[in-house]
Amino acid sequence: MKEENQNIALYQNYLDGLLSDPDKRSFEKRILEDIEFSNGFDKYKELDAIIAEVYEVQEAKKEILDLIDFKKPLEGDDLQVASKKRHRIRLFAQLAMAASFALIWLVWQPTKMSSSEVVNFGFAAVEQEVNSLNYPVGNGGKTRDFSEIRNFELAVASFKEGSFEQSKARLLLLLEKIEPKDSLHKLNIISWVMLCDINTGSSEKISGLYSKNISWVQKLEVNSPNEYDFFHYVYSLHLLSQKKNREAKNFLEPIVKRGGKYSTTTRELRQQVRFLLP
Amino acid sequence: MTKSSTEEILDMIRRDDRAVWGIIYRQHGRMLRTFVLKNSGNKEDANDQVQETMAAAYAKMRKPEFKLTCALGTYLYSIIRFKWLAELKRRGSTSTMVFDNEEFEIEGGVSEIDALEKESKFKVVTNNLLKLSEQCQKIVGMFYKLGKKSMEEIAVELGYANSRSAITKKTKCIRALKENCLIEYNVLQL
Repeated sequence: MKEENQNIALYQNYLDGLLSDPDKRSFEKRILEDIEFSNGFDKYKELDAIIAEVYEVQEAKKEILDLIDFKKPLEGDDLQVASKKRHRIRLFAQLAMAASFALIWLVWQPTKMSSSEVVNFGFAAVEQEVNSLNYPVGNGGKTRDFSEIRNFELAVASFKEGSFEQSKARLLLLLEKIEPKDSLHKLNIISWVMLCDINTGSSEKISGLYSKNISWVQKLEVNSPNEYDFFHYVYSLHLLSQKKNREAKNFLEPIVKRGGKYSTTTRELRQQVRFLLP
Repeated sequence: MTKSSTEEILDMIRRDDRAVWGIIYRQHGRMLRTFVLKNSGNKEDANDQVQETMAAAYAKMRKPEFKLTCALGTYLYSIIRFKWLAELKRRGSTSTMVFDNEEFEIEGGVSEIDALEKESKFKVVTNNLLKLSEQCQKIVGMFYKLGKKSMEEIAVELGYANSRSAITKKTKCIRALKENCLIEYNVLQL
């Protein structure tokens, strides 16, 4: 450290021109021969340049403070503040709009039907079908058994009288006899079983039968969608009776889109479905 | 305000049109401030660094030999980047990650290590200057400032008997300053 300090004194005296001629010559000779001494001098000279630069920048800083008002917000800052304000206003407007919609929706909601009213409404649309129900005599060229036809007629009669349990029992008997290939007819019978269950409120017990068939129907309906609309429609009623409104809506949507026999009723039904209330 | 081109700005600097500095600040100030704020700096740090950067640019760009080899924004960005990194280093910040603004990516030129080292040395000198006695600060300042005064003028202004006494005092002050700086350089391994 002592040697370093001595060197520093030498460097400074050399730079200030304070060395005598022999000392100056000796200094310059040492610079050429002693690398460490020479590197130290370079570092010292560099320090000199940095000190000068520090003063230069300090002076510049004083001048720049006279030229620029750093406290004044920049154009971009104004925009940023304005943008934040705009964002807040937009957010407030969105919230206000959402609140208004919620309020309107709540006011409008009570005019809608309850779940059971919706089911009754939907059921009324299919109830009249009972009058025109005919058991298909043929099954792909094969004549049906007379007892089958008789059972179906009795099931329909029971349904008309409101004896849904009885009707359902006869329909289930029919289901056992239906051949697997007779799929459309099978689904028709299942639909009527569902309607009986909806009326007796016992659909929970047999819902596996519907859900199993609905997934099967969903695969088939690609080719002949309209033929399965009745099954879809009744299955939606079944879901509605179970207060699965959102799920029911998913089944009602395609019926409306297909524009088949049940599309108008379904549209009306769908409009009455409450989605938030049980 | 329409954005002035770099050429227009350089021309204004050459003509010593002082309004140019306000234009530069308005065009690039926000970008400079954002850099500091994005890299662990607070509002105060950002304002200080922007001032330092503008001052450094003012000192350099007014020199006749100054040549701009990149876009002005990139040039200013490189100044603030090294200044702020050196400041973080001085503060002993563990964060070495810098979130650069890709628009002002620095290509080529001085190596990052060299620039950062120089900036760190600059900070060491600035801090040690403030540690000098008032008298030393005055005499060293007079000696180094642009258009520096002769030792005779300094002696008269500071009330020394003659220039020889002023030189002795100045030598002592500069030596003390440099000794302290070199000690700190060693500590910081600069």
